[in-house]
Amino acid sequence: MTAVREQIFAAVVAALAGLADEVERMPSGDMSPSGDTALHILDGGQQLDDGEAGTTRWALTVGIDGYVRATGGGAAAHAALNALYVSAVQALFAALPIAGVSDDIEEGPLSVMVAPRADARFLAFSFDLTVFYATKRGDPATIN
Amino acid sequence: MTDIPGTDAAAALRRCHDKFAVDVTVTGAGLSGATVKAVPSNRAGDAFQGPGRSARTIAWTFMAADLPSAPTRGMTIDDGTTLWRVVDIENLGGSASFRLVVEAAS
Repeated sequence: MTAVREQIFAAVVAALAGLADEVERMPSGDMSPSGDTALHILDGGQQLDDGEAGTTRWALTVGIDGYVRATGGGAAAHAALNALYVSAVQALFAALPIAGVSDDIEEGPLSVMVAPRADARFLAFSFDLTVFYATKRGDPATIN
Repeated sequence: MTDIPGTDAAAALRRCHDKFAVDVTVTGAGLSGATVKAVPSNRAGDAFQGPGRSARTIAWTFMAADLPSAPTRGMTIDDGTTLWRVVDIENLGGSASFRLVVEAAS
């Protein structure tokens, strides 16, 4: 049986595919030097949201990190970063909630960073998406 | 080398610089497309968001005597492969040389 959380992450990856040069789930290294954009999907764990007889409702944290490298200085890189952010959020909200799997999603705070003294203007953003879903008590693979 | 006095020290520093330097084309710091010798460096950048450290810091070190005026941010350095733009300036050895941190300009 496929864990419900696996179904959610698979949907996130599918939604973001093609939006950046690299889209990777649970990366262990940064983007390739050859790429200009990257989206990383990180599992932020999950917390108990609610429960009733026979049902466990979870708040799953999906971390989305975006990277943009540009040669046109700060304005060009920042504009590209904002464009990547918009396309990622729009794609995620179009793909989630998944009918019959997750019932609600919420976007968390956004943070933006600049790599100091990098060999090209290099910016990153990071935000969390909270996905709510309910499973049968004691069975993370069965939706309830 | 620190006990080499006066002009000998300057000459030794110059020889040392030229030994490791390559020719680059500089615009800025009083130069306009002039060829100057600069020593390249390429090392890991400062820690950054994410699991890895893909950012690199590239810098060029110039002898101050080769630059008619002090370097400024925005001056460009062309090494024949990449056009670099200066984003950070370090002053070394009491202005004897400048280490210029760059980013790709195009």
